Amino acid sequence: MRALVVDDYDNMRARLKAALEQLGVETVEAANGYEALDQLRAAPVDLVFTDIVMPEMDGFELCEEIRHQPEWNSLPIVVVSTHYDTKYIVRALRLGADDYVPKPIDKDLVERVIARVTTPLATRT
Amino acid sequence: MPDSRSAHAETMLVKSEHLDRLLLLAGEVIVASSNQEQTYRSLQSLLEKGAAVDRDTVDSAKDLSATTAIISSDLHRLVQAIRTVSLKDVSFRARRLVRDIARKTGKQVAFEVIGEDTPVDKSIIERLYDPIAHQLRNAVDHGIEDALTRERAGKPPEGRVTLRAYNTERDTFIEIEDDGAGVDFEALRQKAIEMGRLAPDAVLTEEDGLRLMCAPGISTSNAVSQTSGRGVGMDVVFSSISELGGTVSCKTERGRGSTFTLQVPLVSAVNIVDALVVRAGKYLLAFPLNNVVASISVAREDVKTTFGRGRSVDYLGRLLTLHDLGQILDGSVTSIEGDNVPILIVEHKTTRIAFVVSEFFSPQKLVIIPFEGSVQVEGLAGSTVLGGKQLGFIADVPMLLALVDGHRSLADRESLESAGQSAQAEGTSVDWSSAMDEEEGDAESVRPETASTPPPTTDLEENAESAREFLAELEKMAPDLNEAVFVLESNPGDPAQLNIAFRLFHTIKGNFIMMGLPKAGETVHAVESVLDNARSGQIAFTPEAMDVLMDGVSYVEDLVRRAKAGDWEDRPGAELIEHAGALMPKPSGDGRAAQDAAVSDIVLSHEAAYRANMHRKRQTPLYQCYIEFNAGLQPPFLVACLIYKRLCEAGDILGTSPPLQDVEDGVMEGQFKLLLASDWEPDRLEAAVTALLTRHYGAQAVNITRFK
Repeated sequence: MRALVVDDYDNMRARLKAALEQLGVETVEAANGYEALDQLRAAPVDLVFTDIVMPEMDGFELCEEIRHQPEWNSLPIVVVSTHYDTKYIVRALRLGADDYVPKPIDKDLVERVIARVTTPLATRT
Repeated sequence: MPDSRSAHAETMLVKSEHLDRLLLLAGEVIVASSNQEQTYRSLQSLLEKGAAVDRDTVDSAKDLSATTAIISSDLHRLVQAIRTVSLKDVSFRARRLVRDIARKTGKQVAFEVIGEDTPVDKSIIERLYDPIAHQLRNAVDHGIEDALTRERAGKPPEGRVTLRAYNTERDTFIEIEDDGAGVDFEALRQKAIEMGRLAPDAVLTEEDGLRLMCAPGISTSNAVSQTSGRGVGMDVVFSSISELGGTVSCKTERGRGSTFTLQVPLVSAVNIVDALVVRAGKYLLAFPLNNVVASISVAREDVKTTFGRGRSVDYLGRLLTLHDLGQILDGSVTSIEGDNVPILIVEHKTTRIAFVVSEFFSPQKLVIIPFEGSVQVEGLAGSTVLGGKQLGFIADVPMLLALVDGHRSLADRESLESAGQSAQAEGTSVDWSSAMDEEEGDAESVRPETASTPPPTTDLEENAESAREFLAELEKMAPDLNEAVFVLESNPGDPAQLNIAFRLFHTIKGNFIMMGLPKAGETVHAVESVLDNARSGQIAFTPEAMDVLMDGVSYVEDLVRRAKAGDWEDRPGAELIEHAGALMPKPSGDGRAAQDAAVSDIVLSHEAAYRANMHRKRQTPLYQCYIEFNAGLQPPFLVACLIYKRLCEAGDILGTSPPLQDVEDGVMEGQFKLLLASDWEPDRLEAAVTALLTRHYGAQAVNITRFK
């Protein structure tokens, strides 16, 4: 499994990256929305972890951009943020995020969230 | 929005320990080149004495030493320049401080900073802030009068405080000027007499007054206020400036104001010193030339022994007490050999003393190797390597003077001492010097061990390491933060700066949380929320909001400072959270009501009711799903939203209870109901939903019933 980690903050990226690698997830990194889109175009990933507050293009815009592309329509997006205001959560989920993980990173939660967003509800029949 | 990243792109972060090392090496190069010059000079003198030395060799040695001298001094200047930072960081903090004190004391103060771009060596600047802050506090609290008093005195109601910085060839000058009441020397005199520090009839010159102000425990403030007047401080200002090799002076006029000038050498961090090397018994000691008055040789019989005062020597008509370096350093006595006694006279400020030594050597450039970490040797500034790889020590003259004087170096004893003596003669006063000795003794005995709470996560060394990394990150943000505060102060509500400040606080919050300081994170979050609401226009950026921002910066700085000192206690800023909370917009929905409605009936919107009707017509079954879950680390509201989103995969959700769109502040218990229209086969729906929610969303109860 390959995940894209988007955060403007090296230290945060490193923490998440370390947690993901311990879970056997390969990572690529980006420091803002633009870089993230470049990475996605360069090589497909199975999962995106993104911060919200970033310079240039923030996490909200990134969610929007990703959902605008048909081929990335079902690409799971997990927001990683210290923001827990209702409006942030609602906005992120409306714009297409699939889950929302608090900082600091909890490895068990990350593991759970990966399992969640990659598990479909079930097939209809 | 100005992009702060591009500005950073051209600079590079360098560990300051590397710079220190670089400076040390540059120093070694200079010393090496000075040795080279000496080699050339001895060759030259050999040549002049007619020794068989090749003239060409001497000439090329001369060229070589000249070239190396130029290169090494260029190198040294460059390293110094690298270590130079502007005073901006200090001036930003100073602005906040003045504003804060003015607010607390209810005074009107216009504060101006002149010359904040003045470059100062990094190691100096770190030690300049506290003295500056102290003087500013004094200027506002003691200097500036309240508006009424000022108007009565015919002054504008708003006081003026100016922080002015400039460099001369050799020194950095910091002036703190106020147009307040000036120092009340009469009150000072009275106070000193009261405390037995001055004879009742003593005349106080301005210079004496300044010295008195620096004596511990003296303050002319009538009231001990929150900000100043506790009689500690001026002495600390003096000693910290003097540690930097600088001086403090004061000009003051009753009713017109005061100017305190802190003067520190431009390059006090420089580790090279021109010094005179002497031997005193077994010690080789280097005295910085700027402290050396003279090296003289006195006939043994001219050394006078005065009863009770020990030995003294006459120098230019003044009797100087003769001290023994060996005795000061380790109690040994420097024996006097021969008929002539070599005597070294040194001074600091206006105090001169004489040391008996064993032998003089020629002056030379030396590299000061500071003592490692906590090792401090009284009277010595560091060690040095002398020619021939001999280890020597660099004398710290101000400290030596303090040691022989029995108190801190700064008060020139002579005038005060005589005042004390005459007072003593009249039996009205305690002895000045013994009072000072006690002071010193106390200071020594109460010096606390730095209370060192290790980072809370030290059970894993890796965590401690990362906590320190986050701390370092925080320190790097200080200039940007101060800049944002500065711009916002002159231009409140500037959207770009609000954004920057918001982002910075956001990052700081993250860092505190990562450092294992959740309460600090919460405090910073309160400030961040105010900024967030201000930038989105939800609240106005009022002066109160500015105060919250400033207090927020102070809070962060304080925490960083303490963490650096090893104190990792997670202290919340309760007052700050409260102030920030008062500024926040009132939530439109009532969270409590929503919570109470947790298991009440689902209310459908008009639009949802219409959709429900459509489903009925198409005979799509409706299900009421009751879900209880444990949200774990995520807020229950979020998990409810996630479940909502997932169940959309099975059909159309018509409504929830509590209605998620109304849960304004996210308050919600781990239970909710939703109404789902789904054409999935009922058993399959129940099995799939139960499995997914139980396994992945912490569901503890999933109850799906067909809804009629």
